[in-house]
Amino acid sequence: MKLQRRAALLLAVLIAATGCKNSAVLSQSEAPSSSEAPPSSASAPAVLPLPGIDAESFPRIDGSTANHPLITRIYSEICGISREEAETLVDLDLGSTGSIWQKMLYGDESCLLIVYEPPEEVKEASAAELSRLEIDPIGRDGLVFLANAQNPVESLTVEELRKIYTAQLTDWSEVGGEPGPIQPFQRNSDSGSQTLFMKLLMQGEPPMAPPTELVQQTMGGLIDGVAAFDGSGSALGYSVYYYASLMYGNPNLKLLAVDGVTPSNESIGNQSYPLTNDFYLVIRADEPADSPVRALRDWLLTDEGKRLLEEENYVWARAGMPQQSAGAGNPFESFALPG
Amino acid sequence: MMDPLKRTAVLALSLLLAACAPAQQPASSTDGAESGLPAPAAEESPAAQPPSVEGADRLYRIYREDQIVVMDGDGNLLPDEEAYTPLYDLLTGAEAYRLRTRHEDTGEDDEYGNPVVQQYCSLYDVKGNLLYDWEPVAYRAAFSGLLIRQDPRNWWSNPSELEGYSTALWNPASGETAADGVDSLQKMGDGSVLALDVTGRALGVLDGSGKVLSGFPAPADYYYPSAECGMISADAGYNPYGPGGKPSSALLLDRDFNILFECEQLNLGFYGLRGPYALWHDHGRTGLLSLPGLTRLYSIPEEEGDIQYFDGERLILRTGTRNGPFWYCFLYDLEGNLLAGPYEQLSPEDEWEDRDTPAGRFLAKNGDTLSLLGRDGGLIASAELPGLSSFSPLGDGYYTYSIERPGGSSDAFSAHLTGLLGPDFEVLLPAERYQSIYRLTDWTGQRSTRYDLLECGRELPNGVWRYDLLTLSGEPVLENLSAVGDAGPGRIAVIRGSSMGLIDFSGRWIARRSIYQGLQND
Repeated sequence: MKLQRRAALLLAVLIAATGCKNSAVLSQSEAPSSSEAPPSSASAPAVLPLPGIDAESFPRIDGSTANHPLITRIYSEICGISREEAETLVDLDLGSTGSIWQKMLYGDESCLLIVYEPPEEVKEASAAELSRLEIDPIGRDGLVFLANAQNPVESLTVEELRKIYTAQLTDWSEVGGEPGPIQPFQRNSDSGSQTLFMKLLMQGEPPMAPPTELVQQTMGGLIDGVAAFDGSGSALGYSVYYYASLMYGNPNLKLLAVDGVTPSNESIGNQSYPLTNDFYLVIRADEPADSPVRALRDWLLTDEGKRLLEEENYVWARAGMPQQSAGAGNPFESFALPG
Repeated sequence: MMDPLKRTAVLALSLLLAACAPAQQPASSTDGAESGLPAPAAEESPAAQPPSVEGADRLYRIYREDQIVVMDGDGNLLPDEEAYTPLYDLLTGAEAYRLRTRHEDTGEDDEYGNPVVQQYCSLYDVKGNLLYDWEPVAYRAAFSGLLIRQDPRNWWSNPSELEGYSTALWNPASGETAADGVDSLQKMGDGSVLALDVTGRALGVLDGSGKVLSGFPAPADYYYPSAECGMISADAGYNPYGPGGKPSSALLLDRDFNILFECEQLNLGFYGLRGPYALWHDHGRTGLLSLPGLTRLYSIPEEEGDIQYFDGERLILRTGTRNGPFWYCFLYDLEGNLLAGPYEQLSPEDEWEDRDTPAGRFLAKNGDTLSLLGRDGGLIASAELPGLSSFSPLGDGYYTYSIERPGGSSDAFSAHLTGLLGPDFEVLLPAERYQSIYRLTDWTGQRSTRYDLLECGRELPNGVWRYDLLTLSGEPVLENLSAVGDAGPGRIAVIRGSSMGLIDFSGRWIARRSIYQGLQND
């Protein structure tokens, strides 16, 4: 067969064929489209005027789990869509706080973080990279301790908690409860909860090595684990206030007071609750002046951002700060674990 | 034999006639499922729909980044050690056993400082009855009640690293070894099974009951053989772990390892072959061999083209070199009559399905024109799709087509947009919204099952990917899913917003829970 000769002979016909318009083809405008979202039962908010940002230019936001409701609300408000629809469109990053920081530090994507403090390992290994970020506190949360609702203990001191997590107090009767061993849960080391636990409670003192079954890899897992552990009500665990009280509660658990102060928005806001820490807005310092990421960060630091934060039941952390003090530096430079 | 120029004239006439055909109306729409779902409850919410029995007796997995969520058919989360993997009989395809696996940190580090973990498995029958409790072993599927039982292993690069390694075809009922050294199996196509060792070398052939028919050991080293029609294709004189060098020749062996045919290259498993044929290359020619009769059906000089498809009656030949002037495809019959072509792309419709069934129709592309051809090469339908770059059949007369997004980089996946064509080649979804459109498919078991839903992926302006479920005619069922996992009869595992669980095929939740309950988060 002389196939190549045949091919050459047929090319002219090919050109004629491809040049022929087919009237059987529907035009794109005639064809049905699925691009219209089904009608939502929830009402959409009015679009907030934020020049330069709409659904098409809305920047990527990543954040710690406890910040997911805030991220959803921001998207809903800026894009003028219902919260329910916004929740399906924002990226609810399910990585650890440590991994979210790592992506920001070593990735190249333009992004805004709303995030809890990075783990100490990240701060130590990435001091230079951290200096290339603009990190601004925006909200405040508390490290809270959870016990079974039936446990008669209502409050522990910081010192008692520290002794429990260094195995110096091992029985609930030693802290005013019914006799029985205390089963103290911990979290994985790159979690935001563990970072706060190490910083606010342990303050450099190494906690005891927990058995495998008392280390939970997820915030929800910790709450479920503490609630269900062996049915004895002997477990103790920790999380952050916003998550444990508003996002994933468990009726079998209660939050303990610390040093006699019950965690609440008020006690966390005025820092009478002893174990509080800020969470942050983070952008790259080299974000262009007109970038949507920078514009959104700046807007969140205004009174509009405060309103939105407080409507989502977060605690505003910028009381007394100038409204615009963005990019003030690295707030973690002064902190280092002793020893 | 039809003259090629006459053939061409007929083809051109067909194209012109098609151009005058009346416009087709899109398929009628169906009601999409409501998307107004309530916010997820912190704990598992009551089922929104009574779960159907269908699809309940199996597991559903969702893969999200580096996490795997496993649910049973009622949407209950299962920890790793409770999630099982079905093991299917190689010959019958039926579920034969269930396997559970867990990994334990040994507390030791390897030479790179990574923690060393030990794998443990436990074995169950298909009803979930425990047969063998947790042991540091691995099981792999086999046939006729047998399994491969072996030491768990990690990556290796040289057989010397496998000293002391144990693997065997094994009978769980008796606990006895049926054939030592067996690491993997291939169906021979005649009811027998080819056994390979851990290095990929042929060991021998077993009958359907596990009785050794030949080999153990094989008479020579045949690495990475393939089997079909009771025959074995293997390279002669080639050891991938020995000194460098190419195979001296390719052999076709019977199941007693007798040489039936020898050439430079032989391919039994060529994806374009439908039916018992082999593709050979030898001394500058390429051709087809009918099995098991070993009849040479067709041969051409290699420079005239590559055979891309053959089903016993129709053949697709690609000529020229990529980006060269004669880089075209042609459809021929067995007598060498040109039926259609030249086309830039030409492929059988629905090659996804049973490999042994000849394609009923063919899809062809030239420029922006996508054509549907009959087996005689005649034009059935065509569509003009500006920017057309590729196409794919979805089955049941539905097709996707992709265009390059104007101004985008052709290297980036997201630079392409995908549209949907219906049975009359009408555009059901223009290539505007989605980067990918796939048929929802159940991949469990040895044969996959396609469902009448489409899984359509799109990248949002903020870089986030979302997936919509649509009917085959393009009507929305449930949109903005962040992950679509396993699909079974009547059930699909999904993540949407802060909810995850199982939905039915109308998009309603069967079981729904908060993502914070089961996924890693912090």
